[in-house]
Amino acid sequence: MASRDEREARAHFEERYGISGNSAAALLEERVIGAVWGANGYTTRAQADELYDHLALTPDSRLLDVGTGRGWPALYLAQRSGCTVVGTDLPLAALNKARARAEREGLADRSAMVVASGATLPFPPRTFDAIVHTDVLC
Amino acid sequence: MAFLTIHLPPGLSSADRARARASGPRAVGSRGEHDSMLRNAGFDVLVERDLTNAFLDTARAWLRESDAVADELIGLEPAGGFDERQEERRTMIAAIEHGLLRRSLFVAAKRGR
Repeated sequence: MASRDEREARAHFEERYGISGNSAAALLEERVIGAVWGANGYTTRAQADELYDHLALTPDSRLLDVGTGRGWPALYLAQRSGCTVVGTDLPLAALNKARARAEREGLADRSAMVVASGATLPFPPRTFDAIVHTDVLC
Repeated sequence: MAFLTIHLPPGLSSADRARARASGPRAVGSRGEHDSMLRNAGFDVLVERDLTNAFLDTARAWLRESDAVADELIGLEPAGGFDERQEERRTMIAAIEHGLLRRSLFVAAKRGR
């Protein structure tokens, strides 16, 4: 059963992630973080590239992105490396957008989006080779 | 594992901690230091780097660039949503400027792997 914090976070972000973008929102994101992935946080493209370097991802890697939102930077890292990626988050609206983006980017067959709390991830030990998260566990 | 996290600096007074928590993202509030939490969880910390200056730059850019296209963004959100978000950004920027919020990169590896 979800905690009160989780329920509140889900409701808060469900509304925000449910907002559709337009060309101005895309331009805004490009100007602020240097990429357009439906992100609304503080991870710039340069920082995503640094995460990529540190994680040493390869096409054989299995990456977990906890709190992926609309798929940033999970899908970008999968696109760059060829790895398989699983993104988790609480708001279904965000994960639906991430899944749609994965399909558009040709990443559907090596990506999955799972509704899950970072506190109780539904994966057995050693499922992943690498884990990333950005401003989720503060 | 590599991650970016917004966190409170050590040594804040209880009043400043409360202000920082109210100013940051919803989840800000961890009481422990990330490096000690990682070590306690069986990870070795390979990289720890302060990115607060870049965090402040990015927060300011969201505020400034959103204002620049406000007319086109306001209609995307429920009534008052855009103004609310911009106010949250101003509050967070003030907290960063006052040293109440930091952002850091951590890279860690499971011990023994």
